[in-house]
Amino acid sequence: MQILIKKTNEVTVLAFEGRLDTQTSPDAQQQLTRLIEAGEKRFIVDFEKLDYISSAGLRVLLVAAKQLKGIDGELRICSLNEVVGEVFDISGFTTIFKIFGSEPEALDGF
Amino acid sequence: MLVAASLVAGLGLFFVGLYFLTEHLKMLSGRRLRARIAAWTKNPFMGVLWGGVFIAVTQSTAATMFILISMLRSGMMGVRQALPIIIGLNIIAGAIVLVLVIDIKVAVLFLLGIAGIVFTNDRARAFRTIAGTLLGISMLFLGLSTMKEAVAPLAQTEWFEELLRWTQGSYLLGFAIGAAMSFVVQSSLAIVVLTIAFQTAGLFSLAESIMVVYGANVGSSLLTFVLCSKMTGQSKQIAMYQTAYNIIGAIILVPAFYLEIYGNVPLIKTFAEGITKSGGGQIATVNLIFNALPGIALFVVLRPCANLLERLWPESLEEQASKPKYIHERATEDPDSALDLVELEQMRLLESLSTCLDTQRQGGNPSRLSANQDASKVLGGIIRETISELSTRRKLTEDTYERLDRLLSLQHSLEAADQAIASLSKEFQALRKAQHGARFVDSSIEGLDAIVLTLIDVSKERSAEDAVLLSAMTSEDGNGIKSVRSAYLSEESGLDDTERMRLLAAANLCERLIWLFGNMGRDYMALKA
Repeated sequence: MQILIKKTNEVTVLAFEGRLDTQTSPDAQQQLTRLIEAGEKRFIVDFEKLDYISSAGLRVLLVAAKQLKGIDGELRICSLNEVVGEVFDISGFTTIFKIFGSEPEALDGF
Repeated sequence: MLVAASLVAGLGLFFVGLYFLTEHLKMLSGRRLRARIAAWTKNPFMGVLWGGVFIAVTQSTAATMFILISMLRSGMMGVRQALPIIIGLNIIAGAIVLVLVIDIKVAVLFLLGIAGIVFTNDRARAFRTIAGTLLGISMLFLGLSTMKEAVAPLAQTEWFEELLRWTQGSYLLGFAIGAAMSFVVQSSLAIVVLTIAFQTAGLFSLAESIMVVYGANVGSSLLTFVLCSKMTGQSKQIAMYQTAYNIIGAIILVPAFYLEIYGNVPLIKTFAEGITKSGGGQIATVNLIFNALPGIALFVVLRPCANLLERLWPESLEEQASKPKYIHERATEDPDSALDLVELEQMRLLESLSTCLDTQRQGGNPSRLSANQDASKVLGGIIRETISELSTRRKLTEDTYERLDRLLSLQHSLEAADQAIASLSKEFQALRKAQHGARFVDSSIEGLDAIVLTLIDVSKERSAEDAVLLSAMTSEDGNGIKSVRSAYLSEESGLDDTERMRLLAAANLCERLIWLFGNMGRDYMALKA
């Protein structure tokens, strides 16, 4: 799995590519935590090129959201494909995170 | 054809009996009964005695072994209690040369009838578990008896007699035939008795008889080995101990036999001839020595044997999961501490739900689900019993009663969730065959597991933040399973009618699980309050 990181208007955008599962989650968690500890507060996670997310991957998002809540930060999610969207629906993550159709939409209003 | 049919029928009865016995022993395996069994077998000598009582009643090493394995699986005893019982049953089996004076088949048929009537009688519901256990035992015996009767005529046939005559002069062949016949007939005692008959009729010398007897004892162990070949963990430990028991006897006594015959060293044969002039008595003596000698040797090294067995066939994950880690025999003496321990055990059941979902993943092992759930059932029984004991025996404060009530509600939810996952597993296996069905299965597993993991956070930390998250994930609004279900059931989904029905059933079960998880979260937060 690859994570492409860029910054747009004080917002850190992480574009995931591949699978976010038990194998790749620890690395993703580390990267997010490192960024949060470095002072980044606003994140967009772009799942356009993510093929699959497991419960371990969902936990990465949950942990990051909890960390950000403590520092008044926010994490938004965009570009869910059908497969990943289904997992979000069933897990109820659609009520926990703000989900947008695209990166520009997610950036808007940040 | 009748022999083959009877064999198959007997085997079927045997396994049904074993299943019934194990399931009902699990239900009976209360802390009090376990404490009693632990007391009865608290020292190895008592264990040896009880082993003797078992074989005297059952007359079958194989049947007794399977009863012991069932007791082990249901948590009634541990390996270290079972080993001396195995020694006892072998020694006494050697001491009792059965002429089948007592035909227990009549007793088994009565037991089957009475147990069956009680089991199916609505008015005798209170005795159902005991009746189920007895039904299991009687079917197990009937199965063995049916198989025995199927092959019994073989022992009287000309070709069998001819086969035995063939062994004359060839001790090793006599050993092999004794082993084979004992394996087929499933009773070393029956072969020993036959050997006495042949020896008395002058067909065998004492020396030939001795090797047939040795082979017969090894054959019954081989039967246990074959029937237990798929077992793991502690069940395998005691099955292998029984297998090794007679093999050790053979390793010691077969070379000793050859030393005596060809080296003219007076050993077992000479001893038996010195004890009695009767051929039958001599063979019975040899049979007793064969069964007692390994027992004496193994009794001295019980603990190292138990350690070796544990190393070779370690307790399986499921066996570990079925044993309480926190609740102990005296837990209920302090109700509040007991409830703390109940909570800790329930958290293990909760984590087991995630393990169960894991078995359903792509690349997972769905066949492990039932083993996981069996372990949860045993542990759940112990938890329920502890809760029940606290509620009926102790004067509790209002707060403690309330807490007890919550924990009971949690237990209901945990068991209901377990059942729902079992049902879901069947639907998942069918749905995986369809492309869209497979996607739904994968999404459901990940979604449900994410909720369970959050619930586990709630159970451990009891933080308001986690509780709010869980509540959102499991709420009517947050519960996205409805929209997913609608999408799949729509005309555009490409599923056929059967797949739609299965998907509907699976989605409904997912919804039930999500509701149960939400409920459990509320119970945990109420416990904290």
